[in-house]
Amino acid sequence: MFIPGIIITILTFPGVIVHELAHQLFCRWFKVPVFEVCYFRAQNPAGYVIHEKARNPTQAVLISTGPFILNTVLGFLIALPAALQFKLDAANPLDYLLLYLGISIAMHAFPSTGDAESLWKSVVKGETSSRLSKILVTPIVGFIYLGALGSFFWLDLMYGIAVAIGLPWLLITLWV
Amino acid sequence: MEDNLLLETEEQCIHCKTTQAIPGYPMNLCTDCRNTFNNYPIPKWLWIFAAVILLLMIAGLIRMPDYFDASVHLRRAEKAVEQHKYITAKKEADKVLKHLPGLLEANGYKFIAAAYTFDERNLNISYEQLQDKPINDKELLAEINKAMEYTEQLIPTDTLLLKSTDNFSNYATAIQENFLDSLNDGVRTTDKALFGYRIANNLFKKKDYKTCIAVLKKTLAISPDNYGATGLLIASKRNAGDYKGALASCDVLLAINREDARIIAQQCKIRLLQKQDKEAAMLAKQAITFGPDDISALEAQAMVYYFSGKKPESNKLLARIRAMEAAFEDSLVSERLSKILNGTDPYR
Repeated sequence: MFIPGIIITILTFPGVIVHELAHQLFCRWFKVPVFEVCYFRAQNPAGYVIHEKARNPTQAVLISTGPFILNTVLGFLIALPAALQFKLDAANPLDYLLLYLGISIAMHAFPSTGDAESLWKSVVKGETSSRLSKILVTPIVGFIYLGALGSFFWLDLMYGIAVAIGLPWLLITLWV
Repeated sequence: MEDNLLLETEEQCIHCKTTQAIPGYPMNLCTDCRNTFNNYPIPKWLWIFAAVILLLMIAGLIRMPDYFDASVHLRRAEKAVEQHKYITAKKEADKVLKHLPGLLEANGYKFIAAAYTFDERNLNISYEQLQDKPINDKELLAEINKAMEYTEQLIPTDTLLLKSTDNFSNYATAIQENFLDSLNDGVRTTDKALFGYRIANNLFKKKDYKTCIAVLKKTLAISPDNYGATGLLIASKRNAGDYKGALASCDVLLAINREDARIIAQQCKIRLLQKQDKEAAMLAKQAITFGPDDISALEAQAMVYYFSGKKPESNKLLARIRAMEAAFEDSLVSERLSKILNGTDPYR
């Protein structure tokens, strides 16, 4: 079934907000000036952060992949209690809400092609970047593009479900 | 969703255009502007959005310890079933059901555990919880059905024919040995196995272990997983001096339920006959762990005490077994044990 991406984006808007916030927070952490932030809008791209070029490749990678870290962690933590309730057949409306938020946030963890592009420009094509950082960052950019390609096949949704539902149960399995 | 870069090279601050930019940064910004942009404000609505999410998260997390605990016990029950550790599975499922009495999965594991431990009471309790409810987990459903089939070996359908085996002990040995072969195909397998077991039991009481083992082998050819027949085969082989064969038969039943106190107690008694007292003591301890109120386990422990010179302890256990048996108007084990403890039966 084909559902336009923008509809999915609108339905899962909390994830977009957290995604942009993650970029902003990583910029703030590295003291990289931010000039404009759009947390959500009903068009493509659904959000963006305009900031100064990072001063080194590590910062550039972390600013670009920040949402992958924050959205994944936050999506998991929000959905964790709800996922357990579902497993125990004891879910209530709050759990449905938490699971929706968890999946929405986790499914927007993947950096966008825009993020990949800025990483490519600032590190791989950057004049001051070392050869090692270019070698290390190139596959990251590749993975980001692969992730973006995968979203055509609902990879982002699958990732969101895996983080929000699969990971809590995996945690229990490892705990036992 | 993007993060975009701006590149500038002017020396004056590109934002306020009045102050000189700080050198060494990709963009020319003065200290004040840089500090302002470094702390680009997070809007109030976003703080509220974050606070709402945080509140929801806290509300979820407050209830989490109980559910986390239940999930852990549920997973442990599942794992115990996978490993055929049914005493553990039952305990773990009970811990889940304490919080969530209607949880199908936990009732399923409890049913499976009760079936393989022949725990009729818990079998009925969990069956009532499962009855007429859809079980979507196909693997669990298959396991439940398999467990249900396993319990059928205890339920005779042809009670009239079964009653007729009561008089078999007076018949010639050859008739008893060949009775199973004479039954036609219309008799249910579980019934055939039950007849075989009853005939073998009579032969065991008469200490005709050779014929008993022959009947049991025929019974197990019909019903390979038969608990009663295998259990009697262990005792018959042990009494016939085939310790290796008896231990191998113990392994057959322990493969079905690794925590079977009765079979571990049997292993213990065989090890005592083999004068491997150290191993026997360990097995008795294990049997007591899995079945603290299991008469066979208590008997094995009493024998271990006796053969290690702890007579008061063994007598104490004998008294306990007597009291337990009195409740069922039985004395089989206590009589057997007292003969060993008072030296009438040398045992080894």
